[in-house]
Amino acid sequence: MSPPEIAAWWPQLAATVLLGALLVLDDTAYAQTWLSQPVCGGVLAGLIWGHPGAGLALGLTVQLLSLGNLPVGQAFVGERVGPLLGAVGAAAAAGWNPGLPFGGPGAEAGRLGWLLLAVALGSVLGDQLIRRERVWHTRLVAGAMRGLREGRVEVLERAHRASLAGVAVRGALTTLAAWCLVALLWIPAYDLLPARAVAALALLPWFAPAVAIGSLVELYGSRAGARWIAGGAAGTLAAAWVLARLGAS
Amino acid sequence: MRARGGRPDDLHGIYRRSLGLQGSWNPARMQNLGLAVAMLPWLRRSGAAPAELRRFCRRHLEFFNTNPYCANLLLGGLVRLESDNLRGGATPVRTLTMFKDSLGRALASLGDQFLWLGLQPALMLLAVLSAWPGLVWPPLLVVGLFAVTQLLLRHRALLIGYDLGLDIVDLLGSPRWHRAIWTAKRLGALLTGVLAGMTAVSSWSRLGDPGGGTTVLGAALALAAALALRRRWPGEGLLLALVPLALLLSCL
Repeated sequence: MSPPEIAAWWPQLAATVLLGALLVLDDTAYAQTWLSQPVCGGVLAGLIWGHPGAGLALGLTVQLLSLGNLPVGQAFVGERVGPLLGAVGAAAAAGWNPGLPFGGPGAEAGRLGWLLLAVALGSVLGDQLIRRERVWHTRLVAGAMRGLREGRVEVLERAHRASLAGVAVRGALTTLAAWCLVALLWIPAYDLLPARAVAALALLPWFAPAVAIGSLVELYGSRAGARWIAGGAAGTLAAAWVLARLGAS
Repeated sequence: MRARGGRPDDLHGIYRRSLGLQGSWNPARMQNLGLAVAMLPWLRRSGAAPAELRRFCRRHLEFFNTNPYCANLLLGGLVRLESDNLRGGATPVRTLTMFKDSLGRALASLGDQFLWLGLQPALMLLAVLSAWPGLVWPPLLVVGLFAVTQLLLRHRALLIGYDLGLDIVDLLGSPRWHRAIWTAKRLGALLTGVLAGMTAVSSWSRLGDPGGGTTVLGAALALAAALALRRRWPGEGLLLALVPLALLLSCL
């Protein structure tokens, strides 16, 4: 992607960076409406770039991967928002349309797998960023408490506002960084991959539902929960069989 | 400052700030600063003396953690007890601290069970399944509906908390909490089954394609790996760990 091409995308890029800041705030720091969940974030980024389908394909697959990551205690949180929004924007700018995640074979599936890999890597690396940010929050709180001892109550609000602003800036910067890395390095590198690697990448989106089912079985897999899981699976297979029979006749 | 019905007229301001309870979440004292900051404007307007203001802040800058969706119930109760105290009420500081700690823990437990372990996976599964055929709007509608509902409920919880004060504790004994947790978890389990069924159908439909057999084998092996490693690995980490398997399968 040449500099003039990048310049042509600046309104969409600016909107995506703003969306990144808002959704990262929503993720943990403010309101927690779940609009920052990957399936929604992907679609919203896709709408900005005029390719909601591409956003859905990547967002849905990332959502499946993260269904078992529950924000309880100090568990792995992952930084999915920035990498996901950046990857959706970069894919749209490069003219990639990953299509449906479980559609069929071909180059699109390999591209989706390549983007999925970028988001997974970004999320794992971004988790470290979140941990550091929280340590920074500890320092801010400690500073605010020192200020309080000196009689300055307003330092509490200042520290809280600084924390919120820091989270938003992290969202904006990770989205921008992800877009730049994916658009300028990751997507061009795809053409250099050997055919066998592309075939392997095409398998990755298929691993996402398997990972989701594995983690959810862990979550609900008591004896009673297993019955409900089996019932849901049996009902779906029966409905698919009936629909197939109706279609055949 | 109080409005009609005995509630302070700036509960809306407390509500807006309560949404940022986790804005300065930190590993040492977790939501302490968010809680103190949510109540500060109300305390200032209540005309508390500077010394009282500082004592109040120190009290609420101790460790505090609860589920953010249930926090407003507790926050409303705290504002009620603190405002009663400012008007010469007699809730001892020790009782107030115990109320905050014990109710915070109870709401964290109930809220985590209901929201994080029940409703969130179930609702996100619903969003995923509704988008499975490639539909863009259903997941936004599902999550948008949740977003509006939870924002309204958090506002209502603040008002209820203020009205009940110490009596909030009675609410925790309601069987409705456990019914809601049970329902959310069973819905999640049912939808997990639906996801498994839809994955099986999608895999089956690919069996005739070139490389379809490898895809199905890969999905099955990934499921086995996820079941074996599920306790330790987040989804993204598991996907990265499965890349060698995908490379191996591509050689078949």
